[in-house]
Amino acid sequence: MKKTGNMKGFRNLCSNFKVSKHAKWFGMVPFAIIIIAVIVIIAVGATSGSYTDAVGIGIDFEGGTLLTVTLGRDAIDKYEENVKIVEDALREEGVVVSYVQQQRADNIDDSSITFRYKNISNNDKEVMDLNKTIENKINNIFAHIEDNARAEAVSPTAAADLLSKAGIALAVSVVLILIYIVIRFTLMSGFAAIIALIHDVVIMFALTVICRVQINSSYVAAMITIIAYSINNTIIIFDRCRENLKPLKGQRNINYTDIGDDAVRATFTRSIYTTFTTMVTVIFLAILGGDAIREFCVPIILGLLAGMYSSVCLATPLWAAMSKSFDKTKEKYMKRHAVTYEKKDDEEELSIPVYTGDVSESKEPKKAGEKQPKGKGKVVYKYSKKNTTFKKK
Amino acid sequence: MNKKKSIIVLSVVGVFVILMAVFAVVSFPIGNSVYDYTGYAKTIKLGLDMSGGISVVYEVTPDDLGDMDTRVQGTISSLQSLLVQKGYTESTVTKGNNSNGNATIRVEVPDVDDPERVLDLIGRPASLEFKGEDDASATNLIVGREHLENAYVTTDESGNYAVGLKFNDAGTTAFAKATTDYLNKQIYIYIDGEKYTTVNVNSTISNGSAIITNSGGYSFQDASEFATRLQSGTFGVELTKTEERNISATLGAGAIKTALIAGIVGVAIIFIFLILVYRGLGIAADIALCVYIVLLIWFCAVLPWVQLTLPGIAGILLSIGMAVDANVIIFERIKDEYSRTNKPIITSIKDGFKRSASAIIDGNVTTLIGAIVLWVLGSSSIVGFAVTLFIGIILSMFSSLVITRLVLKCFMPLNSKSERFYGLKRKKDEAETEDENVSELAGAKLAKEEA
Repeated sequence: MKKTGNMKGFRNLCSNFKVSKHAKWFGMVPFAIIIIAVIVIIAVGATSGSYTDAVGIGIDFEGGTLLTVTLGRDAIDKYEENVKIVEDALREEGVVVSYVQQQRADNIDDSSITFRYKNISNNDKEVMDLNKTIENKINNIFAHIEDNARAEAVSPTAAADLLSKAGIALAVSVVLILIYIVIRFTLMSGFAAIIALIHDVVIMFALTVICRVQINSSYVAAMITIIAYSINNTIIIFDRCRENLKPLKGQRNINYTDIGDDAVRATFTRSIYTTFTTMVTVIFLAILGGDAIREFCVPIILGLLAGMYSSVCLATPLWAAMSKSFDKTKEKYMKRHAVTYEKKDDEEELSIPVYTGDVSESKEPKKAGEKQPKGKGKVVYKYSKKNTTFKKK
Repeated sequence: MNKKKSIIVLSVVGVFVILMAVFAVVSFPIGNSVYDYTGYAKTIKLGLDMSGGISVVYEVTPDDLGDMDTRVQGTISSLQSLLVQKGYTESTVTKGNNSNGNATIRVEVPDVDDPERVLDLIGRPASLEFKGEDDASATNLIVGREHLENAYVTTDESGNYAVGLKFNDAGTTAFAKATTDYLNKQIYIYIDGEKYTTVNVNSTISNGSAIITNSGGYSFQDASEFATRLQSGTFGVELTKTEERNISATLGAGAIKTALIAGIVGVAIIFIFLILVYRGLGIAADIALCVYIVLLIWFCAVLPWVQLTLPGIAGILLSIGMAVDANVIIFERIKDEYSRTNKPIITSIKDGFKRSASAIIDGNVTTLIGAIVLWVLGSSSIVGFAVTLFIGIILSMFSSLVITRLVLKCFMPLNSKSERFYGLKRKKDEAETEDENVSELAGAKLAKEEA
């Protein structure tokens, strides 16, 4: 059955790719990213003195200043032009504008343009002084309209409870998702999926910090989007694992690593295609959209990459390793109990119960296996499930 | 399914998509009536970031009741929840300070042009007083700001609409006293010093909650307006409107256009990609995705909680991604089935669907759990996002598991043989898979036995 070497060589290359082999390297990448992010936060925080700045918390959460420039008809007819003038003037003062809005009043002379920007410091007096300077500056620029600039402090637009509520909602959904996965898959699948999920959140945040993208209220939604997407990704691979495991049910020393590698290979095309098709629209949005839109799309793109990375490179090896050690611990535990049980039986000179349950019927993966000889004679497990029967000899 | 039937089904699907798409965008006057039909895609409500809206600023009148900050915060959250109730999940209510040194509350309501509409939504924050006599200067029995906790639309025991009132602790005592003193008499409700309505007291109410009914029942509209007016009298502070403006989109005027172009280009690329990779199967997926997209737009237009913002659009993009994903999973399975075994195309497709269903359902259900929890527990802007995501996921499951399958079923009588059309291939080197190894062994055994 030996066919052309070329074809086989190529296929071998593909089919020999094993995630688990490189798991150590894969595991290091996230740590490297986190370390870089921490360095960035500390470096920026130390130089600017504000750690919320270092993380990039935006005006939605922090509040700032709302500058209303009343320009009458010019606010509408020469909108773009005037926005540019004011933005340039503000930039000279070291202020970066987050949102610009046109405000059309019933009386056209009252129409205005508003600019929202984050305060440059936490010191109220400094902020007030700066805002006075800005008011004067703008008044001078548009000297033909009297008293046109007015700066006032605004509180965060993101309701104070947005974060806490989103946090609670996330925690609850993580727990529910965990329960669902444990029911549909295994305990270890649940844990591995949740660890991958936490990885995504942390890495997305770290990457956002590294890329110096501001965090505003839409960021919360971006993060939830990523979580939803990544968990879905992970589940698809775990579904393959579950399927591959089915015929092996009840066996001992299952080679989880191989099963995991195989599942990753089988779903690899799909993982690539899916990430591509999802990302394509977001990338176009980022390219075509303005700054505020980009601020939202870049974290999503970063998150999608993190999500794919965790599902393919981390979740499965993790699942394999965890399942293996879980099985081992369980076996050890059972053996220990089995021995005491056996002894007790001997003492009481009762007939020794022998396990006769059929391998394929058994729910317990530990009972017997082809690869592993049964070992030290008759080991009787006290730990039994409904399909296992004890019989008199 | 025979040829004729499958052509009919395919045409029905096609006509459905085209009609839905046309009705999404066109607008025309409806003959012989004053109403115009507006394409449903245009009726999707948009958030502040996409379309702007109305901004109204209220100044808080200083008083000496103390604990101002808490009451201002309370008012802000009542305003916020009032707006969410009315379906404006993307409204923002923020606190500020004006040049007089007084606190201000800025209410921004998206996708509304008429300031009057905002006032309909949040009522006219005003003083609310219950009096025992029909005289503006009479003593107050109940002061809304101090005693009333909430007012809402409810139904009475016979199912008619009524207005429910909920008093706080102080209010419960005051209201019990008032209803005792004025039993079988009348209580007058004054809003901003003017008589709003008169209510008969039929019994003493001491548990702090009451309903106001009308003989013959209120219409829902009346009850709702009454409740809103009462509710705006429950705000802990007195507000005076100082400014109202139309505001433009925070993301800039071109935000919607940009999102639309990005969406169209992205979807087009996905469509082409699917056809290139999966050929005939890809065509089926594209048809299913068309159905998915028109249904999604329709749901976004008719469901009251959807107020499309940038995050909402992300929710849609994500669910489109998941709809494509489901198709990709199915097709990879079909390819796999076909290459591994000797099944004919029709059986491979059937089995491909069967074997990928568990992955798709499990994957979507986990996301669905997340969306539901966010819907129930999240705050205003998260709710809109969660709803979009929820609809998107349900529809994506429907489109991939039902529509794609239906379309492929229809393809079968027309063309069930062409490997080229479906982009399927048998694996040539069969000995390499584990399954094949097993059968080979079995074969060897058989050969031995025969020998």
